[in-house]
Amino acid sequence: MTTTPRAGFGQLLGCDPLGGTSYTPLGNIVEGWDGPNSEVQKVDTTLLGDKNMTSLPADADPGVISFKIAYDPDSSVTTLLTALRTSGAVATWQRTFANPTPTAPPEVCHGWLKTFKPSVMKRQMIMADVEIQVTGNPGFTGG
Amino acid sequence: MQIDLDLYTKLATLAPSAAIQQDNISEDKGATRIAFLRQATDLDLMLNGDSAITTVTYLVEVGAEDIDACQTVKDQIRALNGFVGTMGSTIVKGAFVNDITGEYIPKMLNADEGFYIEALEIDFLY
Repeated sequence: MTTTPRAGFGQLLGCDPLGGTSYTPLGNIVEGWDGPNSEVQKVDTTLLGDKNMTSLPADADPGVISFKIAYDPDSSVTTLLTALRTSGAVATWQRTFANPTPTAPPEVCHGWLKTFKPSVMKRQMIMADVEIQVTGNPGFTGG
Repeated sequence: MQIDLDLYTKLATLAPSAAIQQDNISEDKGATRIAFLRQATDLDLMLNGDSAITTVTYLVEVGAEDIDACQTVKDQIRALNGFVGTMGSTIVKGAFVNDITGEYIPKMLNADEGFYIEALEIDFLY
């Protein structure tokens, strides 16, 4: 199958704070999201007489999803995220590759809010840095 | 853009003695002149296509045969520095004025021999 180049613009990140499948799209993401930056740990299996090191993959850190939102205390999307910080709930996160028309199912994972940091600069839109710690399978298609 | 019209009206309020025109000044205008040019517009969008904050930068050129008149009009316009609020149909979230006279080469006045020129750069966030 040929690869369809996809721009980041128009892709959707949704959240169900109750851990279900009723996703609220985060419409206030400014530029895009980064992650999950999953990293598989390495186990060294090199023997004393080996010239070249050998290794095997071990368990994987599913990583974090990080993004920047337009911060608006009047917005339900902003308060959805701040409420996650308070509750510590493990939410469900859905990544939909909607641009162009999706042909594959969305990617889904679970995660809890790790970082929420608003920043106010006089010549810029008020924004907040958000990090979601993924727990369990990061949900990559085919993975 | 609507903000062009709103800025025109605002400049006319701030400096009622000056002739104002966007992009150029015709030769039949009075001695004290304001010309403004929209230099850059950042129509920023969020990831889903919703509008973020729009930033517009204007170059404002003031010209007069009398240096005092020229600087008076410039100071009147400089009152926009720090402006927040409604400007015509535009809700301005911040206006920032920089005086760029020292490094400025006149662009818009077409008969500027003998004119004193002052220049401002104004950023609007809305």
